[in-house]
Amino acid sequence: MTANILLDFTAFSIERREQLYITLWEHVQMSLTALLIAVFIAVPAGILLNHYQKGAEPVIGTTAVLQTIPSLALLGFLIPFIGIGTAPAIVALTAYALMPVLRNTYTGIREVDPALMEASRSMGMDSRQQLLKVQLPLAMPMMMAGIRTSMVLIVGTATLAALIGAGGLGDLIMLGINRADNFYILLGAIPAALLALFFDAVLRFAEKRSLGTSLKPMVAVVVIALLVVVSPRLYQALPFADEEADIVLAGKIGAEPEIILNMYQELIESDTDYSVDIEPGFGTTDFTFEAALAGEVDGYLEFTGTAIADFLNEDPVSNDEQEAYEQAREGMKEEYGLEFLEPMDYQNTYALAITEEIAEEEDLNAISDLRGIASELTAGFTFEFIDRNDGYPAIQDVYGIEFGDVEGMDPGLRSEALVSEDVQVIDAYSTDAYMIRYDLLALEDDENVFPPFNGAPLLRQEVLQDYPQIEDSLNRLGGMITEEEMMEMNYRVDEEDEDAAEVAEEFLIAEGLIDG
Amino acid sequence: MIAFDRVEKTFKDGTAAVNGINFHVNEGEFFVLIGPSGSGKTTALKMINRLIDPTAGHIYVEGTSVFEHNLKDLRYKIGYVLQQIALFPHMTIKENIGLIPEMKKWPQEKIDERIDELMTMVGLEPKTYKNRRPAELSGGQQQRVGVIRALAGDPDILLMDEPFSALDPITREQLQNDLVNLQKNIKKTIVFVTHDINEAMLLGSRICVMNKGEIAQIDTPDNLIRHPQTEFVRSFIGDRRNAWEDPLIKVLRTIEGESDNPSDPQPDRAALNSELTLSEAVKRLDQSFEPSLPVYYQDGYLGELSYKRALTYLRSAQTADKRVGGTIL
Repeated sequence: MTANILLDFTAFSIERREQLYITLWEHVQMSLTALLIAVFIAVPAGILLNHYQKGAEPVIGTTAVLQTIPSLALLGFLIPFIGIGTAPAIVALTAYALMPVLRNTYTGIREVDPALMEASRSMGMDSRQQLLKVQLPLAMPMMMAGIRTSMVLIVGTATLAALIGAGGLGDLIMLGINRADNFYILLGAIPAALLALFFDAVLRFAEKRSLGTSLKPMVAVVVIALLVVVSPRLYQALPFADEEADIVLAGKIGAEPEIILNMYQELIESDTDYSVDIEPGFGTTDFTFEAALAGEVDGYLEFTGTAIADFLNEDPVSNDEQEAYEQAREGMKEEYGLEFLEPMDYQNTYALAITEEIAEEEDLNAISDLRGIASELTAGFTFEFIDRNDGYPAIQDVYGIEFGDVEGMDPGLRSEALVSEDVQVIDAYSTDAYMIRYDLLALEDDENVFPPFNGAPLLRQEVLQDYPQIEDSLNRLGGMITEEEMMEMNYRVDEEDEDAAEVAEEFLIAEGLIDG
Repeated sequence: MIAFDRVEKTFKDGTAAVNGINFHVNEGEFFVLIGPSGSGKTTALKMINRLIDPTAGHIYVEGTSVFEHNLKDLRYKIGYVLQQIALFPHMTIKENIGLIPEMKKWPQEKIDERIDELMTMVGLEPKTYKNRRPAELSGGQQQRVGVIRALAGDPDILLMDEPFSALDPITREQLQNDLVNLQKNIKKTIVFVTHDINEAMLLGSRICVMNKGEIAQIDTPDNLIRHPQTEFVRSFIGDRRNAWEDPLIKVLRTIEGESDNPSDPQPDRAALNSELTLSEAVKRLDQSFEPSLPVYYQDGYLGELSYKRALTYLRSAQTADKRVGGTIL
C-alpha cells in the first residue's frame, strides 16, 4: 500500500518535473532575494544600533510588530501600494525576515565581552578594525542563527506568495488544494521543506568555515546568492528579452479559468494584431480582482454571481441569468470602472450532486425529486454552503427539503465521502472535473434557487479604449460553451492532465471560432 | 618616559577617580601603582594609553603630550595586559600574538619569527601551542600569551592592569617570578597595577601608593616599609616593622619548622648569627652579593636566608597580624 503510493508519487513527480523545476526556481529566487535584502538591511542596522543603543528597542520592536502580522494579511495589505506579483511578495517576505536577523546581529555584537573590546582598543584598532576583526567574527554564530531562522521562515511563507501571483512552490500547493489532489500538495510541500534544509546546511557549512578570523566563506555564500538573484534580472534587462505584451489577462487558480484564459488569448491574437500575455493560476478571487483594479492585469474571467455577492455586496435582483448579468455589468461599471463583456452559456454555480447509481435507483433528476427521500439521506456540504443564504437555507426554504443528517466538510473531501457512501448528497460546482471522475450527476435546480454564475471577461475600461477590437473578439465566445462541454474540458485538464492551451484551441477550432 | 602633571579625572556620573596627581616613570623602571579599590590606580593606568582621557592636567609619553601623539602610534608603542587576559577566542594563539605586528604591517616572515621567539621566551613550545585556541590553554598559559601579545609589536612601555589577580596562587607566583626575569632581559618601562602589596614589593622598583584618587607616597619598597609617611600607608602595607626586628632564629623556625636538622651545603661561607634581626640580616645579605647566606645558632646550621625567604616570612607575619587583630587575644 505505502510502497504503491510512493511509486505513484514518484511517477507523478517525474511526469511534472518541468513544472517542479520552474516553480522551485521561482521559489529559490524569491526566497533568496528576500533574504539578501533582509540581511543587507538588518545587519548594518544591527551594527548601527550598537552605536545608538537608545534607538535599539524601538527599532527592534517595530520589526517584531511586522512579524506578528499574519502573512496573508500582509500580502493583501500591500496590494494597493505595490500591486501583485513578485514585488509585494518579496517586500512581505523581507519584512518577516528582518526581526530575527536584526535582533541577533544587535545582540551578538552587544554581547561581545567588553574586555575584548578594551583589548582591541588598546592595540590601536579603530572601530572599523574592531568590527571586522573582533565584533563580527564573535557575533557571527548569533547572526547566523538569526539568518537561518529568517531563511526557514521565508522559504515556508513564500508558499503563500502563490496567492498573489508571485509563483513558487505555492503554485503547486494551491493547485493541489484546488483539485483536492494530495500529490500536488506534496509536490509543492516536500521540495519547500527540502529547500529549507538545504539552505540551512549551506549556511551552517559556511559558518563553520568562517569560524576564526576569515570571513571569506561567508562572503562567498553572499556572492553566490547575489548571482542567483541578479542573473535572471540582468537577462531580462537585455534588449533581446521578451517585450511586454499589449494586454495582460489573468485567471484565478484552477483548470477552468486557465482553459478560458487560453481561449481569450487565441481569439484576440487571431482576430487582432494585439499581443496578449496570460497569467493562469494567478491567485484567489480577491487577489485577482484587486490586481485588475490596480491595473496590474487588464482583465480576467469572473462570474456574475461572484460580482454581485462579493464585490457589489448586493442580493441578486432575480435568478434569471440575463437580469443577473445586467445587474453585475452595471454595478461593476459604476462602482469599479470594470467592464463585463458577454457571458458564456455555462454556469459554474452551486449544484446538488449525487452518484449516477443512486440517481438511477431512485429515478432522480431534479432537486425537487429529493423531497420524498431526503429525510433518509445524509448530506455532505461545505461549511460555506451550509452558511450562505443562497445555499442550504435556500434549499430548505424553497424546496422544503430537510436532509436526515448534514455533515459539514472540507471541499476536497466531499466527492470521496460521496463515493465511499458516507454521504449521499453533496454540494458541488456544476462544471468541476470530479463530476465526471466519480460519475456524479448534478440535479437540476428546477426552482431556480441558486443565483446565476455565468462566466464573462471582466476588463478594465482603459484597455477597451486602447485596444477597442478586443470587445468584438471576446464577445464571440458569448453564449458559447455548455456546462457539459466545460465539465468535459475541465476533466481533460484536471484528471487526464492535458494541456489547457491545447484543450482550448481544440474547442475553438471545433466550434469554428478560429482556423485550424 | 611617562609623566603625570596635575592629572584629574572626573567621570560623567560625578565620581572623581583621580584628583590631580603628579609622578614620573623613568625609562626601564618597574613602576607599581597600588591602592585599595576605588583609589584611582586603574584609571591612572588607562590614561597613559588613552583608554580613558583625563578631564584636566597633562600626561606625557616620551616627552610629548599623549594628545599630540597619533593615537594609533601611541598605542602601538604601549603594550597592554588585562586582568581578564582577553585573548580573542576566535583566533589561534599565533593570530592573537601576530595582531599588532600585522597592523604595523611587518613582513610575514618577521611576524612568524617574532611569534616563535616570544613563545619560546615564556616557555610555550611554538610548535605545540601556535595553532591552538585560547580555550585550550590553562589560565597561566593564557596570561603568558597575554603578556607576549602585548610585547609583540616591540613597544617601549608595558602597562599591566592586575594581570595575575585572576590566577591561582601557585600560577601567580610562577608568573611573578617569570616577569622579574623577563624584565631583566627586555628592559621595558613597566607600569603595573595591583592591590596585592606583596606582589608590589616583589616586582616594583618603585611603588606608588594611591588612596581616594590621590598619591599617598611614592617610594622604593624598602623605604615604604621603613618610612611610611602617613598612617594610611602604614596600615595599607601592614605593620612590618615588628617582623623586621624579629631574630633570625624565629624567622627560620617559622619558615622551616623544627622538623629536621639539615647540614650546611657550603660550610666555608660567612654565616649569619641567629640572634641578628631580620632587617640587619637583609642588610648583610645586600652587602654580600650572595643569593643567600647560612644561619647558625651557636655551631648548629639552621638553614639559608634568601630574599625570597625574608619576603615569605614578612608576608606570613602580616597575615598573622591580621589574624590576631581579628580575634580577641
